[in-house]
Amino acid sequence: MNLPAPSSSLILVVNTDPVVGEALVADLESILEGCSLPDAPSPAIVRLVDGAEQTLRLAKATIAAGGIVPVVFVERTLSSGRGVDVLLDLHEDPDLIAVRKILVTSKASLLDVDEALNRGAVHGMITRPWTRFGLGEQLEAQLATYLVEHAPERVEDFVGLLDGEDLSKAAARVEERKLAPSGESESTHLILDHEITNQELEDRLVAALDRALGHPPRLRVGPGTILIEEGDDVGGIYVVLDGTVRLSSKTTTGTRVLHERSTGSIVGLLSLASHRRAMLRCRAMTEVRAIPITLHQLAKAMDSDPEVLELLTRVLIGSLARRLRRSDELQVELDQSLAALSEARASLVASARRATLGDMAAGMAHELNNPVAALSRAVEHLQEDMIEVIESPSTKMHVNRAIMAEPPSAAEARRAKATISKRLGDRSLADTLVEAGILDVDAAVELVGHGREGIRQVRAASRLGRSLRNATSAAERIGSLVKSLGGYVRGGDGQRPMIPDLDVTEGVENALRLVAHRIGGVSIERNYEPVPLITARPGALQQVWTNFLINALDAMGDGEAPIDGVIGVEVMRLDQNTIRVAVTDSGPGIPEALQSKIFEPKFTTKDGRVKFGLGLGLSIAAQIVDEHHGQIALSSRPGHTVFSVELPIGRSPDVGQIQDSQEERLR
Amino acid sequence: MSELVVLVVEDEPEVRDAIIRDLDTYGDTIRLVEAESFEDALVAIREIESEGDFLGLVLADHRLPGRTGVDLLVTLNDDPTSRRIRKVLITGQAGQEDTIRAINDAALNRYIAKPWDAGKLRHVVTEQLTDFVIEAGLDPLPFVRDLDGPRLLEAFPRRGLTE
Repeated sequence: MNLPAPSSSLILVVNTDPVVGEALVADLESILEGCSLPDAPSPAIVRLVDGAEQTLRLAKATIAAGGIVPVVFVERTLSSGRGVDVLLDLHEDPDLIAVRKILVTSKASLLDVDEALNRGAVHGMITRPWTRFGLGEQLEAQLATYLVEHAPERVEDFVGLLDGEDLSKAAARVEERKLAPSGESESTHLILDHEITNQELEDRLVAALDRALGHPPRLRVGPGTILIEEGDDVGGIYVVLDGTVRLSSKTTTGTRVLHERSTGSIVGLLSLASHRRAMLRCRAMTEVRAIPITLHQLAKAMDSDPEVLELLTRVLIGSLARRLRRSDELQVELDQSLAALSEARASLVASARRATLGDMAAGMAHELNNPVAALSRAVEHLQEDMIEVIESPSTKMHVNRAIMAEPPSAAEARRAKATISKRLGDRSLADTLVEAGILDVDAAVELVGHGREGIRQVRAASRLGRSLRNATSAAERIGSLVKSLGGYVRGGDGQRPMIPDLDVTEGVENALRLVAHRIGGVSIERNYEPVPLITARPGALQQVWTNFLINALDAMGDGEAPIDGVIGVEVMRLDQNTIRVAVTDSGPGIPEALQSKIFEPKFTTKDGRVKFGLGLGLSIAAQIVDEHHGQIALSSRPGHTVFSVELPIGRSPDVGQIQDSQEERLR
Repeated sequence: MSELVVLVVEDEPEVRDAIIRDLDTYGDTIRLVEAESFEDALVAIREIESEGDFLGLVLADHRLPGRTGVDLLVTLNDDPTSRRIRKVLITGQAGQEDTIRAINDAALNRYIAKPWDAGKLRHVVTEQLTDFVIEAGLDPLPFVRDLDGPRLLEAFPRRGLTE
């Protein structure tokens, strides 16, 4: 298909049915011919096209060549799709929005034309079959509207078709345009032109400056040259033609280099706007060719050529926008860095605190070992020698009995005192007898026969035995606490070596002993299966169990020592390769929304209240379990919360890997 | 004859033995009764009442299985019939919060930290029982030897004057 001649008027008919399309073209041509002077060519060319793509291409080519496309007729139903879509495509193109768009349809219904109508993409409709008269009326109306609004100077071409009123409107419009500032409506304003590139802007500015200032001299400098020094008075701007410059500023933390995305080719403009004090140092990084423009020259250029002002404004807005964008990006980066920093700091503080606690616990355990050993040995020796020294066989018997016998409960003691006192009628004597370890009435009666002195002897012997027994059991308790404490070392430091034969159940028992003082009224249900020894760091795993137990106790007691409830402690062999340890509590449960976050660092439901002396957060527990190549899990509903750990049997995690994951965490 | 009773509430038998032994210096006028939990203490108190004795002082360990010693003292303080019983908390680890609660809500009279000193323990018990005898208006004469005699005798004529 031939392109229409430049600066022609083009009317398009869009139809995929050639018969109907050609008929419409023929009728339109005949109408147009009838309106022109007898020997003049037709004022407009009519072309048949088959779809949106061809329509847009032809229309744009015509407009680009200085022609106009006043009217397009589009068949409603095309074999390639809906005619309405072609109308919308035209409507959405900024070059073609003014084109009058007419829908050709055989249907009276407006169904599925609504969208185009609502958006103003349909200016008229003609129904098939059309009449010459009706078509002529439509064409005339649309041409008149288009020409008066958008091409009044061409109105004469269609003089035979348009009436007098249209012609005088068009004439008035032409006059109006003459009065309006030239070029304004023809070309897009620079500031609003989103398609113009920085390079184009620069080229145009250079050209405009050359025109206004008579080709000012170019400056050529070597790499390292400082074009503008930060803080100096700026006497003008530099337009960088070739080469790279770097903008930087000194801050309290050193020199900050502006991202290259913030650096344009016109330097110094922003500083001009801020008290003429240079905000940044500008340094040539390569050989640089630039035009220095003084303030005086700039003023002269702006006076003589309004385009210079416009270009500079555009450049200024552009560089402000770039810096603003960059500053937004920096803000986001800064926020992220700050968050990461505070997280890292908190983690360091926590780990330092844990390290201190761990060191203290280990140190204390070590220091306590000696006195505890001395104490328990001394008690045992005391016992041996005492028995040796005592001569009376009956005294010896009472001492030994008191050492061996389980002491009565408080209630038993009260009951015995009451019974004996009733029989003897002497409360004070009854008290003394019970203190002498005599709970039986008959034995009491018999002993009374020995007189007060005899009773006092027996009481002394009995108390002696009881004191020895108490001292032994107290020393044992201290010893076992010290042992638990000794096994309790810093969890995350990887300093304690893995041992190949760790008894998991023993660790769980140690943890239970450590929290014994907090168990209150809770009953502990142990369910231990025999499990093989594993390779692990004993202190670290013990921390996990302690943490589970303390969490369970906290949950059930709401911070106080819980009054009742059940904690289930289970150690089982899950399968050939796995041990499972689970701590179940009957507390209120963990809300579902929190469950997914509970192993994440820094998560706490305790409002920042420090709850554990020795325990660590669940995130550390998770970390420790990770180090052992295990799995940590939680399932919770009200009254039944299970924290569990699965540990592999017979797999020794190598130390390097643990340190890696440790470093990973610190980063 | 009615006697003055000190109730010792402590769950660990070794510790209970030690307290009882340290308080064994009082004569026949003061009886020591032991209990090992909140509930057991209430049972013991009923027994003391049914025998017609006066409970003058409760010496409670803070940490007991189930409800604590502070709970016990608060309960006693809430009941008008037991309010004037002197209350002493003996503990190795009460947090500040608990101690404040005991002082505010249980009208705690004294606080003894573990490990205790036998002389100080006896001093506190003597002082508290003396206060009880004076406040309860008991005949002070039987207690002059075992408790703070001069204070009891000083209070005696004063009581006589006001009556």
